[in-house]
Amino acid sequence: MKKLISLLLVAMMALSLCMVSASADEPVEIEIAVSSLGNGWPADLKDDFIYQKILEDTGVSMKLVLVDDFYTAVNARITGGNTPDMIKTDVDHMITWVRMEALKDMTPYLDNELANYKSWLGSTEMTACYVDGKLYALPQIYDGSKHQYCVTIRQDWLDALGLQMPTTVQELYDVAYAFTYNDPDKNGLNDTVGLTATKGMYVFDTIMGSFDTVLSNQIIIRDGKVTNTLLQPGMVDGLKWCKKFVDDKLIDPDCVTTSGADKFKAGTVGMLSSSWTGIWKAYGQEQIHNVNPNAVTNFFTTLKSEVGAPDAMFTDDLNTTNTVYGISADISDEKLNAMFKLIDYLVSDDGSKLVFYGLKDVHWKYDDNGNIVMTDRAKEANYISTYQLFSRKEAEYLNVKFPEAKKVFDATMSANRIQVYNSLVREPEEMFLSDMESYAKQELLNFIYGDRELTQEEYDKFIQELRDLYDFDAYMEAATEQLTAYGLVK
Amino acid sequence: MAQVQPYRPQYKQLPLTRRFWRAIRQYWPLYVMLIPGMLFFLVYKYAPMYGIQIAFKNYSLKKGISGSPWLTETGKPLLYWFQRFFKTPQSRQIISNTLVLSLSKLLVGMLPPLIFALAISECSFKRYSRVIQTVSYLPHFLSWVIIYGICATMLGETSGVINNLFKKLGWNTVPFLNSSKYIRGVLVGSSLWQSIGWSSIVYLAAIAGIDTSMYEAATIDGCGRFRQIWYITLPNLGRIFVVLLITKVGNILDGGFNQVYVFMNDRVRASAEIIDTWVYTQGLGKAQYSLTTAVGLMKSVLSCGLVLGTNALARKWDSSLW
Repeated sequence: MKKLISLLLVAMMALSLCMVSASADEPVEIEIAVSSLGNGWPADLKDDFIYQKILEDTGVSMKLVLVDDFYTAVNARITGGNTPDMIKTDVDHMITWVRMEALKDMTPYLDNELANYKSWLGSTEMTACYVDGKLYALPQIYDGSKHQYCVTIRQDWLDALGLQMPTTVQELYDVAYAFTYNDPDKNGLNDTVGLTATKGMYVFDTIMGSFDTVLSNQIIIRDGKVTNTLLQPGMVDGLKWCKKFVDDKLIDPDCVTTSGADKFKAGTVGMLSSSWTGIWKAYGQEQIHNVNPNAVTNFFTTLKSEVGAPDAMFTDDLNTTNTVYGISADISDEKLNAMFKLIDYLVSDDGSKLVFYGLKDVHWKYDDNGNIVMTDRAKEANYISTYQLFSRKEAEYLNVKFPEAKKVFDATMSANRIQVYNSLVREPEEMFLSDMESYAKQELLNFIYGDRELTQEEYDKFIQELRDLYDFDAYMEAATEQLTAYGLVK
Repeated sequence: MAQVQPYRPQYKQLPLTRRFWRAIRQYWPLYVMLIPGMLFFLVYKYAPMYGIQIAFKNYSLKKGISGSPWLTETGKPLLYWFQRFFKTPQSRQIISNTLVLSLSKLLVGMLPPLIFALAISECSFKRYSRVIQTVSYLPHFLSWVIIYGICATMLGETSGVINNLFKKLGWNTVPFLNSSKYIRGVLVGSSLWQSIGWSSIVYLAAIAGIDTSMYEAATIDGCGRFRQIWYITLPNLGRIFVVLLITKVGNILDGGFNQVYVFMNDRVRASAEIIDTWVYTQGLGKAQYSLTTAVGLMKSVLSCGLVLGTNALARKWDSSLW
């Protein structure tokens, strides 16, 4: 018996030795934590042709790992000393992690190992990635053409009711009213609503754009002075319009909490404020036509300003994308070198085409004029966008990939937005910015939904609360100071 | 003449250590069985208390728990994080939300399981009552995410069953899940729905333990069903009722994290945000560990006080836990 056991033990030890020696030959693995993966992500690495191709070309195993409940889980991993090699994040969290000393200072590498990446970024503003003069995160490329928001509208409903495309808030109201009460789908039922959105407040920002503001805390510059969207003079008038839409039940009642895209596709809502991507790609159009074969969609990007400002809807944060990549402070030299190799590859011509379009001659090819065209198998490459770590040159990419939506993205790219500067502003350390923002959001919704009286006096009281309770003034002072330092105001 | 007993010191006269070893020798199997339980509490409940100190420190991840400087060393008052919590206007709101929510859960949730258990035990068609009992346990095993799904299907404003009924009747729809007016009712109601069957088990067990001869005697004395319940069943359940009350009071500052977190959205935050959800989003979500540890510690101390207080009160009626 004892012999048997000792034999077994020896066998196990031998086996584990074998495993150790086998792992010595394995490629360096880079773990990149992300909060979402592309649609149809392959369950098995074997089926992930992008992973395989990158492994083949660079010898680096690039593992994109989906982390549920992202920031909580990543914080827990950092605290536990098990930081992912690379983390996809936004600037706010990056700063938190820099203060936790969890991210590596990339400044020394920017002009050497990362030189290709730097030239690829072009004019992208990197200011937001610096903390105390050190570069702690690698941003995505900023391509001024990244704007995706528009309002999609059912043209066939407009036609059925004899209405024109809305150009002012009043017209938006009239159209939404007719969509809600005049049975635009002619099914004899009162089952339609005027307006919805994919993400909480966007439905109201559709209206607030005409008042040169949005329903959130955004730093803006007006008349050479730093100010805030919450302080805009048009705020109360805009809120009154929002309230009118809500009171008359023209807005999907669930839209603050759940995305209205499905309702739009199902034909129960006539207008949808959203990114064009879900609706205008061939797939989205197909979904719409499966439900309503006669559905015709159209869109608009701005309404006429009610306050004499340039027509604009939604916001644009100055020359930055909010998506950046932090690298673990604990990373080994071996992994760091592998990471540089990987980054170099991803911004190279071959590598970038791979992650943009898929495998050459399988998913895409050059046509006779030397233009890239997608092949019939392009659908297999739908999931790969998560591999586009540092994003892409948008116009070129979209023209190749989604020619069907060209008129929409051309319009959203050139549409005028409210220029905001939040990514350049760090709040004072003693302040709870997120508490202030959630309080502001809560009260703004209370104004709209009638839980708080909507008068200029009451709104001023609300601003005073932000000042008295949430250090709003200190925040605005910090914003002024910092934007002055960047030379944006004098 | 009585036999002379060999001298054996009375148990209580022995020195403590000898008493200890004797007890161990005598009851060693019981003590062995105690070990896993004690280990559990040591590892998962007591050892983590080491980390409580970061409530009084300026916690830095790199320096670790013991290496981080005390607040006094960085020139701040020792209770800085506690002060900071009470300085934010949010604190008043979330404390009152927590208390209102868990008190109403406590009040609404105490009697129905008792009544339900009585009804089950009085039901003479046993097979029927068994089916009902099993069905009533079911929600206990559903996660809150699923219960939220059920609530959304029932109560949603555009497509919920109830609101569709309202629409058919020509009434206005009611934003059950999206309004700070209704959300507490939904939270309390759904938690009662989830727990009623499960919490009645304890009462059913207690009812089964009541001496049946008492009922027989009562029948002979001419008691009907309701009198039997009033004079026999309920007095016998009194003690278990108080025990459950004490344990529930200990959780009064909890308010049900899982549930609230799932039901939360921007429009109900004002009346639904509780201490635990705030600690979770601020602490883990925004990495303010010291601040949220302080809040968590404060909550635990208060809960502990509440349990001790209720127990002292219950001792007056001779039904205390210890």
